[in-house]
Amino acid sequence: MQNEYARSAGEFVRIAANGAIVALFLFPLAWMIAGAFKSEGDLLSPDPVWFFAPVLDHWRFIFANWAVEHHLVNSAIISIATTLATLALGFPAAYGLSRFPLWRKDAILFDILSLKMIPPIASAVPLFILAKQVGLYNTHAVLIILNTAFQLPFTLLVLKSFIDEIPREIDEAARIDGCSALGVMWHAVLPLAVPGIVCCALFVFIFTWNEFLLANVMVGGEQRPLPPIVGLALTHRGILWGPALALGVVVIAPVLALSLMLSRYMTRGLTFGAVKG
Amino acid sequence: MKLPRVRQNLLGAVFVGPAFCYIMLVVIYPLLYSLWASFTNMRLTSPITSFVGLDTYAQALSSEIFQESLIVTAVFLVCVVALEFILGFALAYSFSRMTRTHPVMRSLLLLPVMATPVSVGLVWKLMLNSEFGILAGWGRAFGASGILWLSDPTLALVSVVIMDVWQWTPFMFLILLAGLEGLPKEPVESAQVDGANRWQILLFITLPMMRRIIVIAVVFRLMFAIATFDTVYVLTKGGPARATDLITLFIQREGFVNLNIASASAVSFLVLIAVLVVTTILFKRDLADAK
Repeated sequence: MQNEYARSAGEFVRIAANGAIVALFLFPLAWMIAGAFKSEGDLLSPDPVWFFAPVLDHWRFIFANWAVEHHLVNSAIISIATTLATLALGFPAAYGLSRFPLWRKDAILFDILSLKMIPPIASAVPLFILAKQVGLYNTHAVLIILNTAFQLPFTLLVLKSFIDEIPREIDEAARIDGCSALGVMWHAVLPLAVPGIVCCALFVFIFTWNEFLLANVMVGGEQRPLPPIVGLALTHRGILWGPALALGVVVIAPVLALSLMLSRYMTRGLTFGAVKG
Repeated sequence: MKLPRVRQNLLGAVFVGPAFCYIMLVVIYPLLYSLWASFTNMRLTSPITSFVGLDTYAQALSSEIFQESLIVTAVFLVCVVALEFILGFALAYSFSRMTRTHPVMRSLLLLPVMATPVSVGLVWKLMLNSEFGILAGWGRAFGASGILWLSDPTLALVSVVIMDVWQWTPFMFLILLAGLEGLPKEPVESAQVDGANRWQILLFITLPMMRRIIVIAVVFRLMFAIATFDTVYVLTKGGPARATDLITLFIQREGFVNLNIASASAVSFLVLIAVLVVTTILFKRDLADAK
């Protein structure tokens, strides 16, 4: 009896301690959201202000001066188009990798992973020059094309790990029913791979939405998505802290919402299918 | 009902082909272009480009700014990967000892990993500000006033490490927790019967059984850490006095500020080779084990 009491007390302490650590990790995000609603005086006060009357000044400022709604639409167009293009190219390829005996398949899988490990900065310079040469510089298309390429290795590996789990008997049955190879993929495998497709779609959307490096050099002015605009707020004759934070919140809000939907597949996504959580 | 093997290979190629060609065109071709550029003296400021062989590499390697950037990068990588592994493992171990899984706590903990890097850099820039940042405020409360988090060279690197540890410890946590939960219970139980204490069990049973997952977690983190750019670009832009000038920021500056395409390409290739060597050596065997 006493032992059980001690055990549940121990469990309570562990929940409290781990909960406190989780809260600590969430603090900077909460501090940013709070900061976006603080008045200039509260925000720049030397002593941290915990209780304040929320104001909307910074929000009015960013919509009035930085055309945030316009760049928000840019971000949405680029991210959605990239997600669709990545899935359209990635799903058949992942299916092929999962089901067919390709030449040197293990080497191919490793090369796909290596591709993902290339730091994007390593290809940013040549991509910039080539984009100018083919006349795609400063268009949404260039960001969609490049982000699709950079997200494809991820999509291939994660989707393959999902398709690997669908029993091959499904394929056989569909083939006996008279489906072509394409029909098997479309009518038999695709419906069962929906969780994997949703998982990849959310990840690709978030990664593309967050992308800053290419967006910062490939497009300018009207065409820019949100992240480079945040960068702009920082160098604009010192830092306009309030509007910068409000902008930071605008960028991060959809990401936080979508991330929470992903929790079940987080482990698998973040390790490209190498670890199934 | 089995199709002949050649036909299967062909069909596979049809499915994989479009994605393969796309990656070749958009990722591999530019890299080859950049490899070519690294053997020239290409600059966007001069119209004449000529072949110079390995000169650009020699210049880059002997440049003091490049060497300092390499050292900063190495210090950063060692610090963040070590700290994130230790903290992530401790946290995962602590979570694995709870009787229930608490999925809400887990998903909340993952928010820093997914958070937009520019926003992350921004909020840490605010919190580390020496006049009105909350860390300076707490410092004053404990009698340590005037800590110049972002203007002192050493502290600036510490700041960058703190920010990265905050952002990526949950990543280590998640993978290591998945590893801990996948372990068989019997070895630990029989060690307990044999009278091993908690530390002995952790060191001699749990950690060795986690080998593969630890390698995956550390190598993935190392590779992503090499690519760190956005957060540091916003937080310090490599300063003060290049104290936080990671190799990625160096390449960005060479390519897009100094417009020295040859030099940026050469350094990119050195990084690329380092990355591929590390992944191949550390990873190929453990990844193959998984299949």
